[in-house]
Amino acid sequence: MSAIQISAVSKQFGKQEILKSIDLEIRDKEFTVLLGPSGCGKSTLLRIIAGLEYESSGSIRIGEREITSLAPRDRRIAMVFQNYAVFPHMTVAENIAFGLRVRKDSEAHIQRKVKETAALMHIEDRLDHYSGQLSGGQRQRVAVARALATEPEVLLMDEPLSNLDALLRLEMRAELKTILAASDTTTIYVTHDQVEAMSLADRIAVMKGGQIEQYAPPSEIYHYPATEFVGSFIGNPPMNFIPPDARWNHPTRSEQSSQQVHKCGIRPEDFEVRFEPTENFAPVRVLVSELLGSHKQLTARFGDEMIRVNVPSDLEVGNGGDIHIRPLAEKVRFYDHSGHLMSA
Amino acid sequence: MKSSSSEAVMPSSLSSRASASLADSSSQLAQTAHKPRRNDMAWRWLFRAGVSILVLWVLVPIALLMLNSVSTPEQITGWPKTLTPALSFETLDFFWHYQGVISALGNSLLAAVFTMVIAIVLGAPAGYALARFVFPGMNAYRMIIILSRAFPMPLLALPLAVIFIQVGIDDSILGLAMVHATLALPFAVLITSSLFMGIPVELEEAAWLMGCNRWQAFRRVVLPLAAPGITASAVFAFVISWNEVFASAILTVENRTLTAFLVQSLSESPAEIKYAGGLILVVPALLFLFAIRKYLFSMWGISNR
Repeated sequence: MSAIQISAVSKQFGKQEILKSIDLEIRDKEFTVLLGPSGCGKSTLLRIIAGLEYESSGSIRIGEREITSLAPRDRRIAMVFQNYAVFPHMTVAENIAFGLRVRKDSEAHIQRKVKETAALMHIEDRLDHYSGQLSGGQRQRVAVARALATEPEVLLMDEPLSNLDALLRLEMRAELKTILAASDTTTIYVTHDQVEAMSLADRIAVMKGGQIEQYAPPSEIYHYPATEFVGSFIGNPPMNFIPPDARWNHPTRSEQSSQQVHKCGIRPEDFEVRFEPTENFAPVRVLVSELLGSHKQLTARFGDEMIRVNVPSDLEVGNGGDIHIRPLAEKVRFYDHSGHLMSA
Repeated sequence: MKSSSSEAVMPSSLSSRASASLADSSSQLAQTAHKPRRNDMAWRWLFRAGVSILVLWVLVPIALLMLNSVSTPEQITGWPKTLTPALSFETLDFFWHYQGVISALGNSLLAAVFTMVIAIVLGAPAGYALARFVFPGMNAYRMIIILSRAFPMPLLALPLAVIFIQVGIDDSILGLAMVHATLALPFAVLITSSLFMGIPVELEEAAWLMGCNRWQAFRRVVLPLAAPGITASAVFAFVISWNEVFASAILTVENRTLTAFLVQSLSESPAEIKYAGGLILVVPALLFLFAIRKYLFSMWGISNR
């Protein structure tokens, strides 16, 4: 049992509120990503779970254990740091064995565990090397192996891939996904990279200003952003937020409720495009047309708003052209004045 | 150009040398093609001259000291000087058997070791605190540490002599070491704090999460990484005590350190004895400082790590 329950955890630093009463429930074996812009409090929350920083109030439970007042070493948590924190004065094997030696496991068990995790992370031929002799990617592997060797109940990862170059990051991401899925460890992973979050997470907690905006599986985060912030933070380009347009005549909205609709959220790929004026379509002027390989991204003026529309890459439309668009009715999300998703 | 064309037809066994000298001649070409401005040259020579003067300023007296201490008395007073003395170890040998030298040497060593221990035992924890924790008055504390070096030794030594007599640790090596420690501590704190700052805090945090308490994490992770630097700052404290003369001369009477002993007894000695005494004082300090120079630079942030 290693579900995690975070209840009303808040953190003030002087007068500054870094976390505002966070509630978060992570199921056993779940991979949760804390995603948000820098300064949103995601790293602070992770460090509070690790016990490296103290919460101002609130409590944290792992399984049946209340860990709020425990020292880091008693929490049965492992952490992978952004700068890897591989001990430079120890070999790879000694690094992996460190946690096991501290808790005085038998030497036979330690040797077996070192071999096993090193093989898992493909560093078995580097066991006698020091971290100075390793590349960034290999150090990352040592850090993960060292964390997994102790068989923690919870694995915390603080932007572990952000120091790797793009290609290596892609490779490590795929590898981490399979290894962590196989290890059955409950994982909390902090990143500001939405692609990383979407690819790895079972559930993503999108954070902003010390609060959780939405906590849901990636597809729900993408297709049903709970707030305008989530819609504009996730997706590249972000979701369009435009005032409701009568021409589109959405059948799903009753007359009464559409009165409260402040903004419609529409993903760039969820538009139908016509070249001729068509009923229920709205005219827009294309300002910039960019071919991005698999599709073409149009930046267009719609009334007073700028919107982004993705169209097939072979569609002939240049800068300054006029087109007519209509969102796919079932893909439109409606937001109220406070920027929250209205239930359909 | 002529040389490169002739090398082009050389046999292959010489090709590597040929290509090396080819590169050489082409770089020469590049240099002559880009003519440095007169101004640059002037500055470069001025810089070299300045460096030379500073280096000579330090090295010439040490060289003279060494030459004279292995010369015969006639050579020392005679003229012209020679750079190749007769290598007579008579004076050094005489000095070594001079009454009181051995015990003074012993006192100096003892005082320096005590100073070293006090400076590290008190200085390293202070350095760690400055490096790892944010606490109120931190900057003031750092400033006071530096300012304490501005405190003149005579102002400290004379009242202390009185207090030491009252307490009963006058003319003791331990008392002297405590005074020397006030000189060495600021350096010990500053060197170790920059040392600990250079060790990422994540290494300690990782150790905590893997089951270490604070002390275990320090001993298993921080200490091995900091050990060379701590050793260096210990040696530096040793040298400070070893070289100190004023407090030693005032605070010790019977148990003189080597510096105090030399100041007292050499003023009426012949020149060759002074040189021998000087050499014995300078050489250990010089060797120690040379061994730890890297860490002394890092104290001021000119690290080459």
